[in-house]
Formats: sequence, structure tokens, C-alpha cells
Amino acid sequence: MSKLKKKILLVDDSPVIQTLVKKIFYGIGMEVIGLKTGAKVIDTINNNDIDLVIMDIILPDHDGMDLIRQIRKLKNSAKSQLPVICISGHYKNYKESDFEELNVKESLIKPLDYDQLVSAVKKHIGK
Amino acid sequence: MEKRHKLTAKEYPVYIQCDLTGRILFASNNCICLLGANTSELAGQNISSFLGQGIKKQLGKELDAKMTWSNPTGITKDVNVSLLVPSIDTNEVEIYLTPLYYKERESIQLNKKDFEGFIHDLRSPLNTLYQLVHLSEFEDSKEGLLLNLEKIKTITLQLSEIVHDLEGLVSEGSIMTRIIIPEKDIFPILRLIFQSDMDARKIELKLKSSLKSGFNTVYSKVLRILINLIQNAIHYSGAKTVEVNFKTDSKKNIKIEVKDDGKGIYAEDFSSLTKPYVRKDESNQNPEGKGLGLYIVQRLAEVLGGKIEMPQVKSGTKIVITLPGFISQGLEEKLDTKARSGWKSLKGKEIYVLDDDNLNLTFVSNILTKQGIIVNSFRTGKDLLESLHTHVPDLIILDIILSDKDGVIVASEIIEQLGNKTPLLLALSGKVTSFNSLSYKCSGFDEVMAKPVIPQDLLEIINTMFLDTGENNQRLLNEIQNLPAFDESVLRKIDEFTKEDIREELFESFQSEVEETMKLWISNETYLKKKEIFRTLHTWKSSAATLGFVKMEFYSKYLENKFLKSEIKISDINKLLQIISEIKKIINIKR
Repeated sequence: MSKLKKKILLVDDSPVIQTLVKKIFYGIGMEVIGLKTGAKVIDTINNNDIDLVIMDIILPDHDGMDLIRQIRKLKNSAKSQLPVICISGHYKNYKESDFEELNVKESLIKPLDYDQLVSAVKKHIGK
Repeated sequence: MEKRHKLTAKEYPVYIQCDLTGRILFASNNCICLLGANTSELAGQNISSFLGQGIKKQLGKELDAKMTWSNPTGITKDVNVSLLVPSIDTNEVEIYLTPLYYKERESIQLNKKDFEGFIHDLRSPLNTLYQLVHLSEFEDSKEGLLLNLEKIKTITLQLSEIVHDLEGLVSEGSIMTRIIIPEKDIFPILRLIFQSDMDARKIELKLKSSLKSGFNTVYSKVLRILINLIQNAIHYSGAKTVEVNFKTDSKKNIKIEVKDDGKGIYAEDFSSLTKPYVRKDESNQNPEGKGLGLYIVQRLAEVLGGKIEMPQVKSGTKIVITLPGFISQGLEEKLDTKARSGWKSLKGKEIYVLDDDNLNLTFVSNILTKQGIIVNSFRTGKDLLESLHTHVPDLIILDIILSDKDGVIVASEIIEQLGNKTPLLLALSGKVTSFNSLSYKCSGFDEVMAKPVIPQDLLEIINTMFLDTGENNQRLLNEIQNLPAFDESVLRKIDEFTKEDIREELFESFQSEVEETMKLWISNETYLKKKEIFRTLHTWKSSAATLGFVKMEFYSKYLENKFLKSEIKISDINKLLQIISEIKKIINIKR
């Protein structure tokens, strides 16, 4: 049986993005768990029923791509295959193939296009 | 475009303006000797029937000069024709076509009918082609096949002509690009054109200028304006003295005055004369011309963004053409002081060019090499970045849209790699708006130039770049300062999504974001590694962009770039805080 509310994990150190994304997804009936650093990402995924991850590639303590790699190695297959959407100011250190390898569904460039973000999330986890 | 500067005494330019069918709309007076007809005989006639006739009369022998006109697209396009006779001893006649009226037609825009014309012109030969190919399949005789092949060949040529014409429509627009010209370059050409008038009618042509520097304009159009005005003065008002004077007014407009001592034009006639095919007096004893002169002048002045006026004078006629905003701010002084004394500084400079388009790369390289610049070309950002490990040139020209990487990213990588040793960076972009140009400049480019590249413009920009590196920053800061604090539409969009007004909340989170890092930074700058400070600025930038805080976004971008070049000071950060408090004030007012 599916849950009532879809749960999104947002990993981004910017309080602005945190506030904004939370408000936007609350508005369309989704729950957002926010993390400003990468330290607790794996724990949070293990302890919650997360449906999708929005990950900033550049974090103060971690490389977002490394975190996605760790997610893909999780033992729980449902969790290891979580849909991930990357957000970043630029992707100059990564090629498209890097994202494909980690099965990243979308990579959005900041400043965020809200329409794009919402439709990307809806596309991968439905409403 | 033809160069008329280097004409020798044996060359005779004539100025004929006709449409693409070859119908002459306007011809200058010296056509008489070259084409064997005077201007009134020529007007409305087809140029091909006159070509070479005058020379034949002059030389007493036939000239092998052929000119064919084609206009397969059905669009009338006025062209300017110069007939050059390189030497009386040879029997070669060169014809140069210069599109004259292209831009205003483009600005009017092609309409549905034009496109229907293209489609029609393309469709009928294509249909014939199809039929011919189809017929050939069933053709048994060799002769029949050969005949069909011959027809196919002709149609293919016809099609390629149409394509050529369409190409012309696309590329000719760029001919309008303004270049800096010293008005004194025009003077010898005017003298040459009116030499026969000056001799035969004993007319004095006074050419004066009080401009301190050249002005930025479309050369061919200004020349055309002057030719028409002088011609009018000589032929219609019987002037004995014509005076041309270039001036600037207090608003830095260029004023071109053409004064004559002829019989003058009444003010009420003036407005009608600026309409096509109207002459002052139909019963005028002087039958020359079709009355297009002033109309053309008026249209050209309009195209150049200027106007034509006829101030009342005691005797004769005075016509003033005002051409606005011709010299970009700051450039005038530069031209005055250094550039005008000759752009010697470019010789021996080293410039790297990055463009994935081979044609562009060769084109730009050639322009630079001709100036004695040492040029190194690169096809990919990767190659360029690698070469910078061993050697850094004086300037790098980067194409913005590259196949492997965005030019902006390549620039940021260059800056990251070279820090304060970063050379001057020039962006070549297909589309330059004031907004994206500012954005490129904040990302570390020193200048931005629109494509297609016009040689003079490129050299002018490069010269200016070498002249004023320090001042660029100050100018950029002023530009940022003039930006709006925020883009209201972005905030409205957020409201739409969240279904409530959260700007205050967003602003607070933004402020805390900035303050947190600020504290850290001020307390112990060495605590944060370079990369982290850079990251912080980057976050501010993207947060500001997300919220539509335009000024903040651009300023952060500017600081980010400045930081990478190791130039940032604490006062820069204080300025950032000022901008934030400015935004805060506006948000509070709105509330």
C-alpha cells in the first residue's frame, strides 16, 4: 500500500533552496526532509521511507556525486535504486556519462527553474 | 565590399543604384562618359543595355563587359553598382555589387508574401526536376537521356542561384554593422566622384570637419547620403559652392551639414521632396533625375537612426543630417588619445583563439595575423587549457558555444587555473544583449563581441582591451549598480508555486546564509580555504539568482571572478552587504 505523502530528501547547504523547495513541495502535497550537509545522508535514507533525493553536487563537506555512489551501494535494493535529481550551479567537473553511470535521472542547473524541478520530481515518483 | 580608397587616376567609379532586375533607380553624373547616357536617360532603364556603351564611345572599341541580373526569389533588392575601369588600356570592366538597402527591408521584416515567393520559386524547379528524373527512368534513347541531364543541370543551377539569393538575405544583414571611420576617408572619394562636375560647371566643393575622431557608422550609407545631397545641390539648385561640414553637437550626435549657394528650397517643398518620385517642379527646366535623391537621403538617415532637417537660411539651402549616439562611451577618448595615433600596440602581441568552427577560426586568425599578431588556434577547450600550462598569451578569444564545453566554463577554468595571471579574455557570442554581456563580463570576460566578426570591430575591441584593463572593473561595477535590486517576476512565480508570500522568509534565510559565512570569513580568513570561499560566493550567487535578486547575483558573480584572480578585499564584501540591505529595504517597503 502506498504512503499518503511522498517524501523527498533535499541535500543542499543553501537555506534559500531549503526554504524554497520545502514550500514548493508542501504546496503540492509532498514532504521534504532537508539536510544542509552530506554527513547524515545515508543515515536519513536508511531510517526513512524516502521516495526521491534532490542532491546538490557541491556540498561543504562532501562531493554530491560520492554520496550518490554510496546510495547506489546500499544493501536495501529499493533504497539503492532511489531516483536522484542533481542540482548544481555548474557540472564542469562531470560528464554526462558520469551521471548515467550513477543512474541520475535528471541534472538541473541553478538558478532553479521551479517548473522544471516540480515536473522532474513528478515524472519520477508520480503525484 | 569594394574598396574605393585606393583608386588611381585611371579608375572611374560610377554610382548606379538599381534593383535586382537591373532597373536603374539612380545614377551619378559621370555615368555619362562611362555609360553613354545621362542620368535622366538612364533612370528606369535596364543597366545591361547601357553597360560598356560609354566606354566604347570613349575608347572607340568594344569592351567585353557583360552583366546579368537575376532575381529568382521575386524580392526586389536594391543594389549599389560601381563600375570600375581599372585602366583605359585594358578592356576589363569590373562590377562590384554592394547591397544598399538591405537593412531597412529586413527591419520591415519579410512578410508572408515574400515567403510564398520563396516557396513558389523553389517548388516549380523542384517539380520539374522530379518530373525529369521520373521521365529519365523510362527514357530509352541515349540522346533523350542526355537532353534530360542537360535540363537537370540547368535547373540545379537555377536552384543553387535561389539558395545563393536566400543566403544573401541571411548574411547581408551583417553588412550593416557599424565601423569606426574617419570622415576624412570619405572626402577623397567625394572629390573623385564630383571631379567632372567641379571641372565642367566650375563648382567648388568645400569639405570640412571639426570631429576629433572618426565616428561609428555604416560607411556606404553615409557616403550615399552625401552623394545625393551634393548632387541635388549641383543639379537642382544650380549651386556654385557646396560645403560639407562634419560636426558634433552637445549630445555627441554627429551633424553633417550640406550647404549650397543655389536657389534654395522652400520649407513647404522640403517635406514633399522627401517622398519618392516627387520633384520640386515638374516643369523645371532641369529635366535630370527622378526625384529620388532626398527621399533616399531621408530613408538612409532613418536607417542609421538619425534625421534630416532643413533649417531656414538667408540664401541657398542648408540640409542637416543628425546621426545619433555614434561613439560608445569611453571609446571616444581612447580613440582620441591612443588608438588614433595608430594601433601599433598589437604587433607582436600573442593571442589564442578558441572556436570549434574551422571557418571562423581561420577567419579570426587571418584578421589578427595580418596585424602582426602571433596567433595560436584551438579547436577544443581541453587543448587550450592544456597549452596554458606551458605558456600564457596576452589575450584569449573564446567562442561561447563550443561543442565540448561552454565558453563561459572554459573561461572560469582558465581563471581558476591561472588566477591573477589570467590574460585578457574576449567572448565571441552569437547573441549579445546588454544582460548576457554583463553576465559574461561578471564571469571573467573583459569584453564581449557579437558574431559575425567584423574585422575592424574586432581590432577596435582588442585595442581598447589592451588600453584599459583597470577601468573595465569600475565600469562593470557601475553597470551592476544600475541593475534593479530584484526581478519581481521571479518572486511572483515563487508566490504562485507556494501559494503564499514567502519573500520575507526567503530573504531571512538568504541573509542568514550570507551572515554565517561572513562571520566565519571576517573572524579568520585563513580558516577558509580558497576553494571554500569561492564556493560560498558561488552559493550566494545561485541563491540570489533563485530569488531573482539580480543586482546581488551579478555582484556575487563579479566577486567570484575577482576572488579567483586574487583581487578581493574586505571592502568588496561590505559592498555586497550594502546591496543586501538595499534589497531588505525594498522588501520591507513592499510589505
